[in-house]
Amino acid sequence: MSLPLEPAVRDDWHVLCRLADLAAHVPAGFRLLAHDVWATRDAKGAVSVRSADGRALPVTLAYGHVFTSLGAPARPLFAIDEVAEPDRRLATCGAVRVRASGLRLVENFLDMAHFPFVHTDILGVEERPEVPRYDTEIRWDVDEVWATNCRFWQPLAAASSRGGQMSEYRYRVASPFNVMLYKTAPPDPARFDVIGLSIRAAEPDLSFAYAFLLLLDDATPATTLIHFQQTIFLQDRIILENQRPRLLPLSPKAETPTRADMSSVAYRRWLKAKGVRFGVFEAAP
Amino acid sequence: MTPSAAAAASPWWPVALAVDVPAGVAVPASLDGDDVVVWRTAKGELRIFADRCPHRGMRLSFGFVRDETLVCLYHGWRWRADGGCALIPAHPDLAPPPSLCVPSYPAAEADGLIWMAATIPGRPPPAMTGCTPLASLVVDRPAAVIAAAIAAAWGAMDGVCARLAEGDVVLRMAIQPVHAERTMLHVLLAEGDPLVAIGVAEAWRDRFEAAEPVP
Ligand code: FES
Ligand SMILES: [Fe+2]
Repeated sequence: MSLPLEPAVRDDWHVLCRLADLAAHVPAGFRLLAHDVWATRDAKGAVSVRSADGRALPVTLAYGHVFTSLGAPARPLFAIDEVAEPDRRLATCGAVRVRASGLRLVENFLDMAHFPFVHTDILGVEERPEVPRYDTEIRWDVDEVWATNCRFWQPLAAASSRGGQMSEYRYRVASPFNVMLYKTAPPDPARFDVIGLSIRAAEPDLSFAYAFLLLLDDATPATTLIHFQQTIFLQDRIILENQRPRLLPLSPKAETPTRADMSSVAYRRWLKAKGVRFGVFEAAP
Repeated sequence: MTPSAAAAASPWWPVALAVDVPAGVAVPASLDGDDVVVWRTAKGELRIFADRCPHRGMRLSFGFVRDETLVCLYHGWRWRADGGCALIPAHPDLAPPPSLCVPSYPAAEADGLIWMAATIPGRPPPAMTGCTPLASLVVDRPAAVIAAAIAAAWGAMDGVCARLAEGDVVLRMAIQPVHAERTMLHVLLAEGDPLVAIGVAEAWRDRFEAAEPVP
């Protein structure tokens, strides 16, 4: 049997699936935090989620996905204000299965330094690998981690790009397994596209990544947007499944960060302070 | 033969055929569950490193060789043949600290085989003089089972090496325990026709895979 879940993870909101993936009246089973849960959608679109022992679990439908919790969330699901803007489009990308800790996935999402090497000629070019200094903070009042003033040269920043741009990013870790970024929108550089990544941590070392986009781009077909995001994510998966250990070490000595990893350092420190253990590598005593 | 028992006979373990690691190439290997990357610089210097980048743990065997360095696939950090870090691309102006390095293992090449040791050995790896490397064959059985089968069929092993004569063919084999359930047989031809010899080696591989567990 696994250890009881720590409150920071048990009482948090976790993505279960896309709303569109639930057929009416057909219960669907999911693995979440090493537990089995069942989700059912009725004819009116309302979703109920139950644990294996029959408990009704909290449900929030947002950003095209079903979110639930194995415990009692102390606060509502993270809010993304941009979702209310009338010219935003929502696109959901579906699940990508990754044999790695969900915490490693979040950290990869926060990382700009890999763009030229993993997403070569899309999100970065080998000739311009520099990560300029950016700011990181743990916002204890809202219990989130932010990285701001991030800049990176990108040859093809989004499916709608016409050429290279100096992209500006803001990263926001809203909870240990939910992260999003705000990025210069190619059609309107004064505003930001939002890309969310919510992870269903099925087991400590097995994750399902659900990405969603809240974009200003109204011309590019949804399939192109989703395909672009899939291409990026499949490139990341090669990395994620081959990091050792598969679980995320929190000890500052386990790996060697540099200045570009300030967001990852803050994320690890915050996870440690919150007492997160699911998906964390514990060195043998 | 347990790895520690054989280590007493020779501190060297075979990890690859030399032809499978040409200059400018990096390949993964495992010894007793430890993952390593076997690679050569563009000039052909042979190195064996732990298969884990010190930065964020990426397997270095997924990387590539550029000039005299091994480049990690994840963030492009470059590792010199001495294990030290030559470049962190995200901060091109920053000189990587000398303390930043990848753990490495003693490596040696002899008679077409690449050998590795856990600590610096006092003697060279076993000689296979006059042999031609043929193939590396995977067997999904523990090394101890194979060692016992070899001893029963061909007589006692010499450390991690064995010799077999069958018909006109004489084979040498060096045995690499990959992990608890997998062994690699590195096969060299001492005498005979290579095409016949490879058939003989594969027949033995199949017999080893069917061998009874060691009581
Ligand atoms: S993990 Fe190797 S360079 Fe980052
Ligand atoms: Fe990536």
